[in-house]
Amino acid sequence: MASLHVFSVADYVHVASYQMRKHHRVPMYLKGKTGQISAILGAYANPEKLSFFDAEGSDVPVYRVCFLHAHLWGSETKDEVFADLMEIWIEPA
Amino acid sequence: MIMLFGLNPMSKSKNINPYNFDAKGNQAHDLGGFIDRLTSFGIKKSIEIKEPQKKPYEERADAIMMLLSSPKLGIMNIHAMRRASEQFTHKDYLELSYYDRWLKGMANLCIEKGIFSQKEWNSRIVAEKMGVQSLDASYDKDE
Repeated sequence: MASLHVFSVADYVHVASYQMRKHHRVPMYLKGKTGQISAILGAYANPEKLSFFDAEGSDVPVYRVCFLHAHLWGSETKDEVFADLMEIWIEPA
Repeated sequence: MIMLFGLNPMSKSKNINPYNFDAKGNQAHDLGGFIDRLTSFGIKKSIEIKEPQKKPYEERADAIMMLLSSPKLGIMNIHAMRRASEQFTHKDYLELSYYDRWLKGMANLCIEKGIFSQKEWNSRIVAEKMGVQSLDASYDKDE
């Protein structure tokens, strides 16, 4: 399973900030931000396609990505925010 | 059975965008992490921990959801429901109650799938409104 994944643990990735008018599963507060892969979670069906009853196509790799609270909201804390993101939503940083 | 939307408003904000996108391309369903935007929409920062009284129509909404979600029908699934409610106007998204959003989403998906037309849906709502004098009162006594 892991061999299908483009990214590896500890890679830095950038969350694509494109707008999808129809259905998009990336929260606004992560768009355009940079995080680090902390885990590889396997591959799952694309919910954006399933929302149009399109069950075809292969499963998409999913990663747990770690973001710094300070990076997302400019705060002083050292807290981290983890988000499970599909490979189609992220690009190399 | 009557199911009209907006019985239990979540927010009474007057300055709500009637479209599902604001000038910056933001959608009403995606306010997480933006306290200033929540408050600008009239949403309170604190969460009220109080169980609202269950209404009979909410159980029916749940039952309809279960029936329509049959994979054999291909009318709806959890992802399509999300897509449907994301396409609401800011006003609808923020003012409708939880189950009213379900109902509106289900109705929109049925219209999309051609189960009934928008025109048929609209005229049914008008007919129900005209046929029932006090909707809330008759509803609560139901069951």
